Amino acid sequence: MILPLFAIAAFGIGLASVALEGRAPLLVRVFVGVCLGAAAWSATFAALLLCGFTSPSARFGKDAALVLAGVLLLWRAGEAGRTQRPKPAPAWLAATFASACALAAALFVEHALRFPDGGWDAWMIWNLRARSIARAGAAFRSAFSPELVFWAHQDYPWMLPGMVAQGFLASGTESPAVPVAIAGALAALAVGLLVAALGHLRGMQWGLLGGLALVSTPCFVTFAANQQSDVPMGTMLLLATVLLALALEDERRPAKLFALAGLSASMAAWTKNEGALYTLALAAALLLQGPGAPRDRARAAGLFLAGAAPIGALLAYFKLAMAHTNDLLHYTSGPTALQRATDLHRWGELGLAWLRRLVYFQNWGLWLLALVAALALFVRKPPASSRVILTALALAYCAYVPMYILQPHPLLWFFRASIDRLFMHLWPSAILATLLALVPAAGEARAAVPLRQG
Amino acid sequence: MRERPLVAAICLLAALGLSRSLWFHAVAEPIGGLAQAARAPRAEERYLALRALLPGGGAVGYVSDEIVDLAPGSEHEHAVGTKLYQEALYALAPLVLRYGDDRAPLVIANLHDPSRLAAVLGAHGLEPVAAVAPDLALCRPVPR
Repeated sequence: MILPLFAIAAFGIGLASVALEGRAPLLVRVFVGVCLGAAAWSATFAALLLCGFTSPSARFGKDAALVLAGVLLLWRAGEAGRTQRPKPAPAWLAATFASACALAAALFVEHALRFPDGGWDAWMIWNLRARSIARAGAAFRSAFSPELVFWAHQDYPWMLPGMVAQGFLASGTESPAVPVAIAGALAALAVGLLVAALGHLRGMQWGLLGGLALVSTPCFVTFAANQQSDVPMGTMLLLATVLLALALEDERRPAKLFALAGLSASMAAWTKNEGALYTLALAAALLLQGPGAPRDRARAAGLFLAGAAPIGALLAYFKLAMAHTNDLLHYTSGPTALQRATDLHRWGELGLAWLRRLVYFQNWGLWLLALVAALALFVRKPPASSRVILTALALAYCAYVPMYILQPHPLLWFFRASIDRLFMHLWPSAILATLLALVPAAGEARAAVPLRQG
Repeated sequence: MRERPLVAAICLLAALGLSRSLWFHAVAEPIGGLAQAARAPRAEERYLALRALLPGGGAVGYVSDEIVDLAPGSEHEHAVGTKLYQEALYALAPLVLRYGDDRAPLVIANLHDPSRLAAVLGAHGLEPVAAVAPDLALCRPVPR
């Protein structure tokens, strides 16, 4: 396991250091880097298999190449420039955050011990895929066989199964501890990335508060312990939105950051099908709500999409060459889609179910309601960073509506089984964008956004 | 928004959220039963002996006394049969289990009710190769 861990750290932090060019503190570079490195470790494994290199020596060579590339990138990045130290957080808040993380970790362990194979999606989709890939060797394509029933969702991209399969192979065991550890690490990365990014952009007090919001969201710990792809998706999307925020709050609008944000978004697309939607939504949001003249916005969106191209090509090859038809499309024809789209009862059912979810205390506490209220009541002119992210999230959110109306499963059953996990994809980025909007950047006037009068 | 009310609101919401999490993971999932739950056998242990008899890859047939849902729209009608199939698929990966294929060289008979084994084998024209458990057997088609 040593070489893979070095590969993840070296390549990811090297790439992050080159892109950030000393404009962000070590904490940001480390969390951005490890997220990037983990995603690249999985994506390169998939590329290797799809090119026919399935032997252990090929895997070893790939990891060694990642380490070498990482060392070269770190050497090229050179010494990090001095960044302004973020305003520190009060000791009571640091203690509160640490306690909350300790409690969340304990609850994660409890759930993982109780359900070592994770939730249904974990063992029926993600760990099944990982296990199949790890066991099958050169015959790994059987993991995507169209003869498997649709429940196995053979068309899903395989970021998480790629990590778990490599974990099984590197450790020589199929212990449930492997996917549990990966699930915990990806959840911890989401929290760390949010803290580091907000700490850099708005001061460590707000970093810790953002992390506290994420860790204390009831379903965050449960979904993480369930070993499903939704928290990893949230982590990858957060990586993309953090990089966009860093780019948009930098007066120089560095091209490397937009491109790296695109690469990160494409990693989200390699995690779950929804990631492709989020990638397009972010690109559209850059075009629609980015700062500057239309040419500047087009440049930013173009760089973003260029960064997404390599993993986009991997995804396209997988979908065209191997992926079984998606069940939502396979079981929907033109006449059935029209019938569902014109069924007013279906629309009404969906609307009510959605409203109910705003106050679904079991999974969200009062967080969802508070976020909607904060955005509606207190945000007037958000900065470009927040505006772009919120626009992308809104576009993605709106795309869910036709998806629910047209899909073939019983509506309420499918909605209840999926909506909270879809929200979890967006939730870490929503926290980021909301705090970026509510809290002025350093140097801006305090209370820049006035309370509504009357 | 002013800083202090925002900080206070986040802390209050966090306390509510963590309280809910603690209630769920310590009360709804009773913490006293955690040790027993952690020692409970995993579903795939049922299939360990069967896995040793099967090839490492390819496809085998699969029959059962319970129906497996093959298309969306009936998610709760055949939950028992579907779950049996899914657990077998997970345990025996990367083997592809062809539901309803009783003419494959090897066929798994996976039953919810062990008393129906003979009836299922008879209905599908199968003879046992190895009886792994009263409700789980490796079979082959009866020569015609």
